[in-house]
Amino acid sequence: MSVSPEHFVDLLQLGKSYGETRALSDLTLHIKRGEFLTLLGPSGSGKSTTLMMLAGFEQPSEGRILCNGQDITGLPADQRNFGVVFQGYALFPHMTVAQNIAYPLKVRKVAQADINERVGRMLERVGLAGKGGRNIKQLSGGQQQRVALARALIFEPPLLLLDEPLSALDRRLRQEMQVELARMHKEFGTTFVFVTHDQEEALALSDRVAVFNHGRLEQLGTPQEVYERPGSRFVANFLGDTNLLSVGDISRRDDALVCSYQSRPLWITQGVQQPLPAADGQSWLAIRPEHVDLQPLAQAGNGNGVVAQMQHLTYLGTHVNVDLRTPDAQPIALRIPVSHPLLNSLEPGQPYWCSWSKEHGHLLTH
Amino acid sequence: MRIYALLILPLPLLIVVGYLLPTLGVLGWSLSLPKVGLQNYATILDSAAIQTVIWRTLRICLLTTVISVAIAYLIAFRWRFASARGRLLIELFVLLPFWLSMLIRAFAWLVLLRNDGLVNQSLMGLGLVDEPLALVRNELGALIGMVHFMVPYAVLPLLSSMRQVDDSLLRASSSLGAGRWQTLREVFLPLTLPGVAAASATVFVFSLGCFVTPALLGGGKAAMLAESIYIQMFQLSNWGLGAALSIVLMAMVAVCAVVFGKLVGFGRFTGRQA
Repeated sequence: MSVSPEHFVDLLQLGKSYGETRALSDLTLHIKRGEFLTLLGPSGSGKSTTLMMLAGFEQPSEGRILCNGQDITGLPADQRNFGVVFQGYALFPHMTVAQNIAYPLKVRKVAQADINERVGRMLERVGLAGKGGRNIKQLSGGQQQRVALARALIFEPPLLLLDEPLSALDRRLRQEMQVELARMHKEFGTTFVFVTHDQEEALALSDRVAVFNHGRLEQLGTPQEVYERPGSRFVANFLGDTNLLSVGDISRRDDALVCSYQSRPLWITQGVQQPLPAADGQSWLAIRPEHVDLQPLAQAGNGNGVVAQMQHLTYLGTHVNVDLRTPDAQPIALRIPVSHPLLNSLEPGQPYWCSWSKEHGHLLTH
Repeated sequence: MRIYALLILPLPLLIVVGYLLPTLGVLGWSLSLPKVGLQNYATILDSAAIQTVIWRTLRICLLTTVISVAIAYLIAFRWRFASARGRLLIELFVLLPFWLSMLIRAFAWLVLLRNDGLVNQSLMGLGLVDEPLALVRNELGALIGMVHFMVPYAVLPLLSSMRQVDDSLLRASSSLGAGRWQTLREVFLPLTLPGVAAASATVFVFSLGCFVTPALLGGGKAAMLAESIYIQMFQLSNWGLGAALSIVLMAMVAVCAVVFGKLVGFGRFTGRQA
């Protein structure tokens, strides 16, 4: 049996239907030992269904789940030995903090003295020392979160599943808990599978991100890969803002690709090795707003770019968002620093030259 | 604002005229008939026959409570984990008896349980017993009728407490390594105990005042407090003793209510969370 870190948990051609509704199709995913893997997607994309099947709460309609090479598809949740942190924490309201954390040890019939010692140590590790006797209702949201983590980690599961655990917290606390989660992942060395619909969270925490849409895995990669080289328009849009230009006449020139937009050539140096898209298919050029620079119209034709009319300006303190529109009504968004030389002379309705360097454009075919 | 407060007046008025004054009247009778004094209460303390009735009442009510709540727990449990269709079906069968007169139900049991009734006929036909079992016109008959009457009253508070146990708690328990029985014992049962307490209190208090069912199915051999009051007042014309027994019955109900209220909070009575 293979026990290489690459094949800790394998999801093989997993699918799930609820009656007529297709929740997940043909998911094959290899979870590596010790990694922080995020399942990211909008609601109804199949990410939570995947987590529920991993936990053993739902049975897949087709496909298999392997753990260390062994088939665990039909194994009940209580025998999988995976920790789960639930969206609403699911702490037992009739038990104290310490009793909640002790629960997995108690059901495993660990000796009481051993339980007390391990719970005490765990309370310290999650920053709840001295609060073991508290009632669950007396805790703040962040503290409840810590109890849920402590309870799911105390029996040292090889895999921890987290179902949108931060979504109930306010923005400030969420950022604090992100740091905390990252710390605990490192400290405990447990494999984390984390479900969220928040792209910032996914990028900040993960070793790898699996982006889901309409019950399918759209893209799998490091945060940098999925952000900088999105494989589809959906991924490009879901992970941050993206400008999409419908382009045609794609051809290869030396080490670059050339496509045309409004009969103006645009150069691309990223993903040049990939086969050219079919001539009859549609293609888009994706550029992140932070990679587009704003210049006076006089610079037009200087490098890669398009002419667009200024529409709207949003001041955000650290930077300024500018919305423009190309002559064919294609919206262009860009993000410039507050120190940008043009900022004070920008006038709505006026045309400007929006340019980006060749390596920041990215060709998409679906 | 003040004028609208008058709109609530019919309610306290009804309580005063319909309950408080008559109760005070009964209390008056118990202390004044046939002559002024505590002799009626002394009779209750002295009479072995009356004490037998009180103990029998408590015994039957306690048994009724335990059996009805146990049956109701199973029904509510099945409901909690049933599909939407299944739930509707269970609710229908729980509520159905409410639309049948108590009298009809008691007579139906009489027909089923008497010596030549369906149950005994079947048992004898199958050769399981040689002569009919005494299933009715005794304490057992009263108990069967009362349990049947009380189960729906016990199911309702249990449904509400079971509904409040979130699925995620049960999933959490199993993800933490607990099997079905452990989850049931450690999570589900403790969280539904308030419902059990509410159901028990409701059934016990209702049972104390039961009259028709035990009178018909007990066949006079299982007279409970309510039946004794009726006999004292309307057959023996001993209004003073009947009134005193009524006060004792009321005191027992009051004690139950207070004990239950202290135990799980008065809010449970009105369906609010304690």
